[in-house]
Amino acid sequence: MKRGMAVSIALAIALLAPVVLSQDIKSIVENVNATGQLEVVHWWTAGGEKEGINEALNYFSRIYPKVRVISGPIAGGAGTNLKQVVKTRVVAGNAPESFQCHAGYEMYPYYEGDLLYNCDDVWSYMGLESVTPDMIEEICKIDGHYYCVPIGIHRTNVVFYNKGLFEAYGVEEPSSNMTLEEFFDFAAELQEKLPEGVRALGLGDRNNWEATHIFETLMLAENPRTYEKFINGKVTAKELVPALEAFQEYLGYVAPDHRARTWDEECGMIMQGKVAMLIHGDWAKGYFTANGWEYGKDFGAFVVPGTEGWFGASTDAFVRPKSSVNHENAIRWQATYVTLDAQKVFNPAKGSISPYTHVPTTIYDEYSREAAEDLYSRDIKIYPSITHGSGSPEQVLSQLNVIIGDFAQNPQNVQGTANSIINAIKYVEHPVQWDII
Amino acid sequence: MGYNLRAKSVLEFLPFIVAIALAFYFIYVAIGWNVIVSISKWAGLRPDYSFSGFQQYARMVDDPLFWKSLTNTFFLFLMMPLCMLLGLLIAILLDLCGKGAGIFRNILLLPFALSFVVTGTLWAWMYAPSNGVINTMLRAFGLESLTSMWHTGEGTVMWSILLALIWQFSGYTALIFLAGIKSVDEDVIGAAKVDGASTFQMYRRVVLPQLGPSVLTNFVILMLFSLKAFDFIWVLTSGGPGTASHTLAILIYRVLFEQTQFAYGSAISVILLLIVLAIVVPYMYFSYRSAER
Repeated sequence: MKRGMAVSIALAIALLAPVVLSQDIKSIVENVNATGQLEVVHWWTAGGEKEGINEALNYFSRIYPKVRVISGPIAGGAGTNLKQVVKTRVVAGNAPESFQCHAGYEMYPYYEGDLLYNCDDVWSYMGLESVTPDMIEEICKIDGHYYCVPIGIHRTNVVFYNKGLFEAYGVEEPSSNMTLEEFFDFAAELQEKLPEGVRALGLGDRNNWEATHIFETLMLAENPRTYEKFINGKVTAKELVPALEAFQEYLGYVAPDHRARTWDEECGMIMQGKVAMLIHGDWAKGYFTANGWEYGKDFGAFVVPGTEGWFGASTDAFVRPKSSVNHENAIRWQATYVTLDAQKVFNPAKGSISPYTHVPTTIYDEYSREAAEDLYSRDIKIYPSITHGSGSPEQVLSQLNVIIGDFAQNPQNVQGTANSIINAIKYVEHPVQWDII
Repeated sequence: MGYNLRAKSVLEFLPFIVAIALAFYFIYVAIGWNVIVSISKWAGLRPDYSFSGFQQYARMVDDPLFWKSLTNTFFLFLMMPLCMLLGLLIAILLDLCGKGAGIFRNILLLPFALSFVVTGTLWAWMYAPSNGVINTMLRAFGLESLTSMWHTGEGTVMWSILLALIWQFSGYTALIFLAGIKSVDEDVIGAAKVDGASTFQMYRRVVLPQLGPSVLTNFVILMLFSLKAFDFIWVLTSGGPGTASHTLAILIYRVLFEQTQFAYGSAISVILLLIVLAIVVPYMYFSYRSAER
């Protein structure tokens, strides 16, 4: 009898727990007189993205005027410098209330060290599951729980091109209605028509990751199954060969001094008419528009051939570290930036797409509208980007960047490179198993 | 009276005590902590100080990237003789220059006053193989054969870094030499002139033998920089292409912050520390001995 009663009490607690939780978060979020500080560390310092985060933080300040907001920008593309600062602070037990992180594996070292709060509360209270594409949900989860809340998404499998260049040399503009093989044939024909010093394809990989970005996109274009096996740590050297050969072919149309430039300098080469096309993420659109180019008039974009029906996701999110001073403000911050109003101001300014399907696509420019419609489409398949911290453990990414950076410079040894990649993967544990197909 | 004296001497020593306490905590405790981490089981972001033995050091022996980074670090030692030769030549020219020396001195010091991030970016633009100023000028003068891939080529990247660093440090070494030359006793120089020494003989026989302390200072500064070189190389090459320009500092950064392997990163840091100590300790010993004399 006593045992039965204990079981009943336990059951009641288990059933009541979510209610108590939601009441707790309700009182936290609805307390507009909250005080204390909110330090948000992020890597958005360039034009567009800086305005985006400022808009989101201003929106927070309007709702919680008594909270002292500290914006902590740490410059350095894709958070390379931020990771150093944040990891040191988190280990020292002096974490900010919230910091920017790519959803997926990038959160894993913090999760593994039990240094993050789980964000199920915000997801549940704000009803995010009903408005978030399934795969984006998966990318934000570890062991069945959410550990971050996304703020914006960039598409990674895009070809950007200079429209004027195609017009000037009488070549029909490309589109995604071709296979990868046809795309390379097209690049070959284009290269023949272009004058000396102008290249059909672009790459600016001074920071290595730009080359990895193209490699991962070509890997998916060659065979999505290989990509899935790669991010699950189960790929073989033989399976990597087609992707490396495709990258080798891509490099054949790239200027030999590609390593001298960064991605934005390569976008500058497109604007100068020295490069016709570039596989990159759609933050490149932000570069073009910030420099006065107009989508559809000066530059065009299409999904990388072979990846039609796929959406490569670079998912920007914020996490809540455990050693922060004012955790409740971190909950308020997450609950604020996912609101419709905050999403409407953040994403158009940043040039990203909202992860939430209830945000109307009419708020975007033409390019982002098309990308958002793709992201929210039921037919699209989303894959977590390796390069942008989601798909593979950080040890794999760190080594992959170096191996692919080296291959981009000396693309002769396909088999040796494939073996090196396998050596980099095989000793690293892959606790997350993705199902992207 | 005795109490007042004691209070006074405590007050006098207080600034030193504070400085020593801060230096002890932030330098020596940090070094000690780093050594402990290197022999711990710490993996990931959660500290774990349980003893793991010297397995991280054993791992280093089998890590080809460690050896490559060590070799590249030592390669940068070449900067010392080259910078010092150029710096000495500039110092002598400045010494001979007379009135205009002030302007040249400032111009030559300017590269050293710039941040490594700025000079790294600057050299990346100058080295750019297709449109960088160096290759463009070589082509313009018909020296196409001398154009190179510079910092983007595996075989040329370390030489490119070395050349840029020589540019940045030569002015500084020249100033240290110039200060040394200026401190040579005027009477000695006067006596040499009376004895009919030519300018070359005067520098060769009188000035150069007295530049020992300047050489030692330059040697230590340049060597320490080459050992901990990070920001300039990171901005210029990110350690690439591939791993071609990895130095120990670059490797430590990647292992610690890109791969979150604190124990292994700390072990590499300890090795770097030992190399630095092997240079600094004899320097300090000889400096103090010559000061005592």
